[in-house]
Amino acid sequence: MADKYQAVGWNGFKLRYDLWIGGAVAAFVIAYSVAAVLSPPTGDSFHPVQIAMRASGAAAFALLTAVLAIGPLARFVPGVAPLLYNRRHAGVMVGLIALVHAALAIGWYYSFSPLNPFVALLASRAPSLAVTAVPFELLGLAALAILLVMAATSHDHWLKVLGAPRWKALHMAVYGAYALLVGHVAFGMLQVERAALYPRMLLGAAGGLALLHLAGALREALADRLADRKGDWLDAGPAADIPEGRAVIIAPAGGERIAVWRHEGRLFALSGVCPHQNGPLGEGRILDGCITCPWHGWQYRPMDGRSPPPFDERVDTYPVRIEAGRALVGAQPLPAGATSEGVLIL
Amino acid sequence: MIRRRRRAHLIAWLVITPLLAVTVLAAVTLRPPVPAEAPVGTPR
Repeated sequence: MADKYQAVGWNGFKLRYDLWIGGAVAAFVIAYSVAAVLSPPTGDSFHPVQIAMRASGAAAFALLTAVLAIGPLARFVPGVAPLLYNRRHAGVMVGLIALVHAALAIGWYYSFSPLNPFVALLASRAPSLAVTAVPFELLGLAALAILLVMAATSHDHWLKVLGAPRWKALHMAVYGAYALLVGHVAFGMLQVERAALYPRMLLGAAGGLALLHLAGALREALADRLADRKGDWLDAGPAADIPEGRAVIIAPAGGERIAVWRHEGRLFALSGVCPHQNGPLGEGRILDGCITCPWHGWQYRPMDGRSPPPFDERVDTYPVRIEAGRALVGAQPLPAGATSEGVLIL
Repeated sequence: MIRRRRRAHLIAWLVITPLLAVTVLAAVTLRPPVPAEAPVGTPR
């Protein structure tokens, strides 16, 4: 949340998160290698480098699938939401594991070429319409380039420099990288390995992920429709029904979401969108007197929408009143910096 | 703005989901058959 460059602000949660992911990747690679030794892949040659290459490739793909599943899964299973907090560390790890996979593959297949290994990689396939001639190596290389650019710009410093919309747009390229990787596996490994299990695993992972995102997007579209209210004052329902420390979400028809919070027996209305990464602020809760975004823990005071010092972010605040027991929110935000005492629930 | 992005997200996944499935299925169904191995003992 600061413009000044600062290395990763470690805390206990981040350390445990990274240790768990690192441990899971190590366990995956060991299990894969043991399975490969006990039941070797098809082919005449069988070498530890090949196993390491496949294990690292499979680990990167599996971890990326898991990372991309966290967002929509958190929509349906709130217990998954804490995993969002440090998701980008897992993304950086995907880039590093994919780099190891690429280094092993280039070293194994191209280092004995009279050409530069990278030139050999780019020029290794003659043009052909055959499915086995699809340059799957280039798909993998393009995906790796995207993952490395994302890893290099994953720090909040770049988020601040580029601004949330540009940064988010850049990092949406991860879905392009994932599609490239599906092609990389489908036109690479699946052309060699003929066991029926492999296409099923790929379809299960990529298809499951796509359906999960589709379900999440449908849920959000429905939530947008349900949140819509008309008029200058928007009805947020019975004031007494809003739980302490939580919010209900409404929106002016076609507009952005507004969250109506109950804090210490008073109601406050603030923008439902976190300026950090457009997270669903209204789905968070109040911690230490501050509205806390469920995605990355960014905080805002209910009274004025400002982040507590030393941070200087802010979200819009809205007028709120109670009429016949119902909470009503003004459709237009209060002037920037305005402080609201909220409205007491009687 | 963000609402438009959410709608774009939904449309994108409606397009991507069948594309991913078709890509994998095409890659698998269009691959050439594995040459049948000669029975053990067949003279070369």
